[in-house]
Amino acid sequence: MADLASLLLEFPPQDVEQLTPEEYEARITAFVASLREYGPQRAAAVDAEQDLLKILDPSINSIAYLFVLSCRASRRTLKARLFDSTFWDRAAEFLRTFDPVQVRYAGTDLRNLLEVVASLAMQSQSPAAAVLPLRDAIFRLDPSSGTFTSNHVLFLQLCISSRCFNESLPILESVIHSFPTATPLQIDGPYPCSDHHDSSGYITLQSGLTAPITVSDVQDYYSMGALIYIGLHQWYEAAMFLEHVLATPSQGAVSGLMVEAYQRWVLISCIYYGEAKELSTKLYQPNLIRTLKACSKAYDHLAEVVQSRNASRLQAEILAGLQKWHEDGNLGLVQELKTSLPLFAVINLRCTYAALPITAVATLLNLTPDAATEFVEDVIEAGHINAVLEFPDAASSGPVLRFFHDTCGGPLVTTEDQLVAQLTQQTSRTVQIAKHVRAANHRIMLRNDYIDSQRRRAKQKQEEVPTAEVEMGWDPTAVPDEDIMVDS
Amino acid sequence: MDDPEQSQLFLERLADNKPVVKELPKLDLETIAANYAGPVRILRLECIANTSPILSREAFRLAILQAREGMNVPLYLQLVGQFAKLDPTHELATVDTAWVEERRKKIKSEGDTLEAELKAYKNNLIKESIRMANEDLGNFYLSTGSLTEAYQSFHRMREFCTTSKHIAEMAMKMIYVAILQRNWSAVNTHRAKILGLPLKDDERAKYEPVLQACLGLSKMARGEYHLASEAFRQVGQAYTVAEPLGGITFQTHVLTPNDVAIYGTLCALWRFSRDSLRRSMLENPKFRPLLELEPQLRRAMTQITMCKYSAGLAIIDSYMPDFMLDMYLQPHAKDIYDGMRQACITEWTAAFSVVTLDELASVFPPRDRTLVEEIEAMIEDDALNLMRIDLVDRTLVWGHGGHNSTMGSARRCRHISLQRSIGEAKKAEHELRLRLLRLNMQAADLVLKGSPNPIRKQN
Repeated sequence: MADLASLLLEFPPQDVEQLTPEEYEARITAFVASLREYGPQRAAAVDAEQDLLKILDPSINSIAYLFVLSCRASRRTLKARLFDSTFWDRAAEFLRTFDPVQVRYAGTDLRNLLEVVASLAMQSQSPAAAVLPLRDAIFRLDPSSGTFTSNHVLFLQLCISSRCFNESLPILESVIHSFPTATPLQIDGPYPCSDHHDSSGYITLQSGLTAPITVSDVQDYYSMGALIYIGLHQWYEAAMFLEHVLATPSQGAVSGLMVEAYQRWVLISCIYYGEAKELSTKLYQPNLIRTLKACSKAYDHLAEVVQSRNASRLQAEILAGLQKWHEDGNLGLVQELKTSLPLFAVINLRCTYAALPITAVATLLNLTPDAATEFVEDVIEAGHINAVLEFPDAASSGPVLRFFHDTCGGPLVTTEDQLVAQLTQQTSRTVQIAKHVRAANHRIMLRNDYIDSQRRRAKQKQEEVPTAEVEMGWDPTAVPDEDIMVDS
Repeated sequence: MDDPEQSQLFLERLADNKPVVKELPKLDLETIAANYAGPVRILRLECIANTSPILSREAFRLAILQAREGMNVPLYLQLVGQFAKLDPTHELATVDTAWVEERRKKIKSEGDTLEAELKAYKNNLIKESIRMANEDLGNFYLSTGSLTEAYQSFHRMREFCTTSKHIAEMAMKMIYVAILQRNWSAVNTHRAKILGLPLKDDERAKYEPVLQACLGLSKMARGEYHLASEAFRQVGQAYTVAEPLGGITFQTHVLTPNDVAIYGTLCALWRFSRDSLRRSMLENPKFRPLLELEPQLRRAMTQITMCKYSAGLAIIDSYMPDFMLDMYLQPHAKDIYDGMRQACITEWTAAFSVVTLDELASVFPPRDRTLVEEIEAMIEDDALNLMRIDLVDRTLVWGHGGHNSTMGSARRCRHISLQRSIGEAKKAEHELRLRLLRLNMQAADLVLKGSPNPIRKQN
């Protein structure tokens, strides 16, 4: 027992701060190898005698702690694990505090631990319990959460089965900026422990931190994300996640998830914009759009009916396709369309009228004046229109709906400072993503097949090698314009 | 004499929702008969006869008499049939079978002779003779009203044409037939063909005015009024004295210079802007001489450019019955008038930040729908830039004005441009995120492969 304990405490050494990446790499690989050599069976036997985790600090002796936890996880029978509260607490503590650099060398163990935690939670009928530990682990390993891993998919599965929608938002809001590759580019250094510029440097397929990724994993992730946003009624984000599913690069194939995503996307854009937007051919291949449309005629037709703003026709269409909407799992969204129809009727009024009596709105919506007043009040309160309801003194005339043309006044008034702050925030986000795009572009340009093809092309044309410059569509230097800040 | 409006002819037309003009037009049938020649003369008279109950009887009489002089038997029968619905007792309203028989025989023998001649020339392989025989045959079919055959005969001339001039003349004939067929795309094809020929400058100068007039007509017939007005503007005075081309005098057989002036002006007035109206029409030295042929339209246009919209519209209004009796204008006159009125309202309101609807109604009295309906339609068309209706105060207010405004206009502009920038930045982010995903997936070899059919069975 004593030799195992001293072995476990061997890393990190006292002078870990002073180690160069080369030395660190050498020491930690040797340490991991010696643990392997010791073997989980023997370690488990020792651990059974005395609680080894007591002598280890999860934030310092992360590798050793993880090793012992893994031993326990594999040793215990399922039933034993279920009732072992110390295992659960220790695992949760470890996932919250582990040393993010050390675990890069024990990726498979970490991933296995996450899977054990998730399945424990599922089996004990309380998936919510695993949501926060998993989220902590993802962020601890990769503060940007931007390299896609199998853990992301696992996490969303947990969130959906536990309906922990709000808890999932920090992960969903972080932009996936890279995918793990088999051969890391080693831009920032050859070792996992090097100071990497972004997490794709150490989250690789070899590291074991993620299982191999497939296209359907990615599509699953974005479809589930969209479901969560739909649950939260955040339509804009939901639509964007569905578009991510549709943007999957494809050699002409279309997956069922994409068809499903397109159908939901049509419904959501009807709910959010009041009409089905067109997919831009700049981003999607025309072939893809055609195939999707061919598979979703019922939905496109529904969108046309929504656009016609004919409530009774919409009701008839919804009833006619009830079975289909139900089978596709879209009945909830389809029902939502009904509420969006009068909403957009009122929203569109602002384009034509500056003010109109509520009786006119009532005629338009086919409601009684009182019901119309109530409805319009709700619309105003929800912030869909920048308008007020005026109640004139004269008893004879009913209330009046008065629109504000812009947000310089009215209930949705925003000050210029607020707008500037919004713009700065938005711009910095956009610039950040543009940086990611440039990095991704850079990675593509360093791939062997890309270089080969460029070389071949250059040979054929005897011309200069063209650069793979992607059109950014955004020039961060163009905004914010200095002039608009000056008060006149 | 019965009321022509109650005749079968006009009752049927009203039931079919076809235009019937009850007002007295200013035009004179004799002048029409004198200004036009060929099939167009009869067609124009037919159009008037079918549209104006007042002129119907006389127009039919002139048209039938004209038709009897020609060889177009189907047209004669059609006219007599229509006339019989108006006044079955009239002596011209019964088919003159002897004349029909005689014409049919004559057509048969003439046609046979021409076909035989063509055959003979073909055997002799004399190019020029074959070309001319085809031309004769085409002209013959044209006179009998068999337009498709005429078109084909002229088309067959093509391979026997030896000079550019021959080709140009052939194309002119085909344009003429195409206009009679109302086959507007063919008009443009042949026009382009002529413009592509290596003609001498003085030759080309003869064709250009006529071709511009034909182009304008075809654009107007397709409802492309802006393009039509552009084309008519380029016709120029040379058209009034243009020589016959391909044996066809276009100013009597298709459009008179007056027609060019009327069509050009009306098309220019459709959704006009005052500035361009002045520059491209009134101050256009090329169009001005033609415009002088229709001084009332010049007056209307001048009034409109001087912001006297109701006076200008009143002049046009008084000529509406005439426009409705014009065979080419009839389907478009109302559209053009509505577009003109709409532009007048747009221009008139542009000067105000608030207008009461009553004021607007006093300048532009409502016609076939209420003013609010008209304004609503205009706003939906984006024709009223940023104006909104205030149904409570019964006013039309400019979006950025009105009594909601509390900020200065410069700050307001800044406010709006800031909002726009935020929107643009958001859009850019959205697009970049999708591009990022695609790039990344490609870099990681995550590309969907397989058949283009969806995995799950859909629909």
